Amino acid sequence: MAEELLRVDGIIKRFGGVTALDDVSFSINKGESLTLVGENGSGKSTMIKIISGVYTPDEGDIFINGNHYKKMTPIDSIKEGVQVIYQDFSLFPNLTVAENIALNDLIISGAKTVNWKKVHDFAREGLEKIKVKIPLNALVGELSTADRQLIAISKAILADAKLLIMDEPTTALTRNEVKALFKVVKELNTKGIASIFVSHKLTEVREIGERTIILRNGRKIIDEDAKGLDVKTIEYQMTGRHIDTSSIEYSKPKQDDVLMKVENLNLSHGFFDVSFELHRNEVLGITGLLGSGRTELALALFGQKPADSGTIILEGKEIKIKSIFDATSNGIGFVPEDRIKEGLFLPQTINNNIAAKVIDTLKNKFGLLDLKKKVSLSEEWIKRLNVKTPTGELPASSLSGGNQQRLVLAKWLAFDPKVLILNGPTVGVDVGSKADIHELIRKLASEGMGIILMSDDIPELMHTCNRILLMRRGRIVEDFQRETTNEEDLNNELVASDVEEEAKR
Amino acid sequence: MKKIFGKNPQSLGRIKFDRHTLLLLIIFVVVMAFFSVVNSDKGFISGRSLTSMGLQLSEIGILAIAMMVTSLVGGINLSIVAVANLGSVISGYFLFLNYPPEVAVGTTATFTNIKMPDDPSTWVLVISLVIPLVIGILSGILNGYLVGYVGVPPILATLATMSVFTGLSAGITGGRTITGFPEQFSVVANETVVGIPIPFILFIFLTAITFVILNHTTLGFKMRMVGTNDTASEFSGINNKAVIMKTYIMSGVLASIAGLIIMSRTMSAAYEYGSTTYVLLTILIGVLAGIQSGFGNVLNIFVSMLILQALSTGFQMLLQTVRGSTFFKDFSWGVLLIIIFVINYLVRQKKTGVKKSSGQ
Repeated sequence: MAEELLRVDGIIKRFGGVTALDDVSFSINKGESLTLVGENGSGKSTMIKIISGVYTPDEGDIFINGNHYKKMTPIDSIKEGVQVIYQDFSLFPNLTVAENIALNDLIISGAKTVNWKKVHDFAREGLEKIKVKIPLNALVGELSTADRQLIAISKAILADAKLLIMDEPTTALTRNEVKALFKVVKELNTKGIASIFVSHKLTEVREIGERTIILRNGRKIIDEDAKGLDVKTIEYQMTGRHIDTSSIEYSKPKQDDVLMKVENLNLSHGFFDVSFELHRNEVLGITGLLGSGRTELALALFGQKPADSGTIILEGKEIKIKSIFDATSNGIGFVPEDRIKEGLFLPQTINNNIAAKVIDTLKNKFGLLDLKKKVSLSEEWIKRLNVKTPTGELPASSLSGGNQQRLVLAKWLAFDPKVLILNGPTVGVDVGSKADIHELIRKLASEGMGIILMSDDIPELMHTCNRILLMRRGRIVEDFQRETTNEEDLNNELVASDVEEEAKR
Repeated sequence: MKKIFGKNPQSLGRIKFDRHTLLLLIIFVVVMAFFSVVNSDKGFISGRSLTSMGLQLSEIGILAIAMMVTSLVGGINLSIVAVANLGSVISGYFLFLNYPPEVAVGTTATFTNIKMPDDPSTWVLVISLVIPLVIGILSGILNGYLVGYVGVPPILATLATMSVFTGLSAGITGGRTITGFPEQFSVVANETVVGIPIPFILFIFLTAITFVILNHTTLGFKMRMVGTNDTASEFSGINNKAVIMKTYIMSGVLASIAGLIIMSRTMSAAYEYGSTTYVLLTILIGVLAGIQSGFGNVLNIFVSMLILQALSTGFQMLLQTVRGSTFFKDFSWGVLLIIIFVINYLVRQKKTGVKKSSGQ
């Protein structure tokens, strides 16, 4: 059992003047499950890219299955049985499940014609190996994230994986889906396949990994049994600072000052009879599982997918939100769920990203774009939100996840909205940035902004919101006050709806 | 050089493009130097030769800008040449209606040539010059509507409108070439100001205007954002549809101005002038200039155009006596493109240091 599969020894990797990995060594045995945690920029992605042969380390050695590599190509890595499942899964959405699973084999076999029976048999075998049932003829693009992930895993297993590396696999999954995924991976571990999980969600670290490695600033800080570590310790080791949540000062919403009132809002196949009030200085949480209608509600309030019926009253006046233009001209801002696709102009400069919303206000007296004003506005927000970058002229893609999220926030804060809707504002953001963003949210509320926070991250809701609404199957079913509830109750309610939905299937 | 291209990198889109402009300028200097040496006896750098180069490159250069602006928002405009021709044809038809040739009693005049009187009405002349611009705007509205509002992929939408415009021109002219345009029109293509041909001045002027629009207006900024990520621009409150509409109108107007220059130079109008050769050429120029959706500098179009013209004229002079020398122009353009690709590839590889790997 304790046979060594992979060992890296004294790995050093530099990018220009930055040392991404500084003398990191570890090993993993066959069938072992390892969790790799660290903030963005701690070097975990670099480590994975070294193991998968994408990067060549400047110094250090890699041993896989007893073979010694100084330089390893991606092909070497795959031949040694290393399979990485990236966040985007590298699947073809326009092909069926069977085609996706059998694709690699089809290409390698070099056959000129396609034997569809063989393709289906092959795919069925792959899914059986991980004991899941997904219709073989379904289009991958129409499946849930969880199913797509399972397909990616079965593909990896069929490619004779000995080491399965999963890069933040649970980001878009519901709790039940996460449990199912863990079960599949544990099953694979008993068959001798090792796994490395890269994760941000601290509670999961203990659930899945037998062993945890924590990286901070390119150095290995901790390498020990996960059972001995509690969330607080992991958090501390990752960030090097204590994140204190006990002394948070929440803003006190003015109960008599209703900023926004939503009455009987409906969207067919989205949500039904949604009514709530948002007060000035309030952070209102709206939670629910994927498919509960919270994302649809967020998009409707922002006019991207307008509601069919119902009224929205802002500062006492009824407003019609039929387009994003309607929403923004009424002072409603929106931080979308998917910052890469919906929030950022990745290859554009940080300055351009920050100025994107307010560009029309940055004109000089000739009606031309005031480039100086653009830069100074951007620099101001880089400073205020503590975006870590040497200059605003670098592309947004050069930033880490947490800093990219700050950029999206900056774009909207520069607009100074009355109501800011945040849809999953800290998805894929490291612990340190997360705490900073939470603090920012509370601060904005205390300064008078009304904030609607959509999230299924319970601690996040508890750390920021004054009030939390629970959505289930398109309806608001419960209203929690933060003071009178706790994380456990909220979690139970959330999962209860999950169970209910599951039963309904 | 630093001052022009290095001062405000963000105004040029991305720092990378400073390098590209520099690369193009170096290539231009090398090409000019090469031909002025090998063609020294033929007067490559002579007033006459430069004037003729300036005249030739301008119409394609302006068409290339018309193509470029649509590339910037992630589109393409295959209908530019068709718009240029349609503008001239309708303008010619308008003149024909006002000044038809004399025909025998009982027959009607066929639309082939215009019979200009000695003292034509100024109004008729002005309107006939405005018509192409209006056609340019209308074509832009149609293309912008199809791409921005209906959501037809730009390559298909403009392929369709290209056919429609060409078809219209062919229908109106009956497939014939219209001649007899007023003498006054020839001024544009044939006169020079201090030795510089008027079309070249127009090309410089339109490059400058486009530069200001792209780099110093909110419209230009929004065009880049839409071209980079249209979902994010929508979520940032940018009206994608309006931006796309304005872009295609801009493209249409630029194309119609190129059409006016062609009309002035040839003193004629035909449905098939330039046709697909010009369209492909403008795409090639865009690639040479490093235009991508969301990124690109109109100055690069200008310099690319200079290089291509220098290559074309240079080889023509050098190989005057050789049979098939005109083919060498296309050949040299192709080679140039490949050289640029390779240089950019090497620079990029050196910068990132990431190994290329398939599927990872």
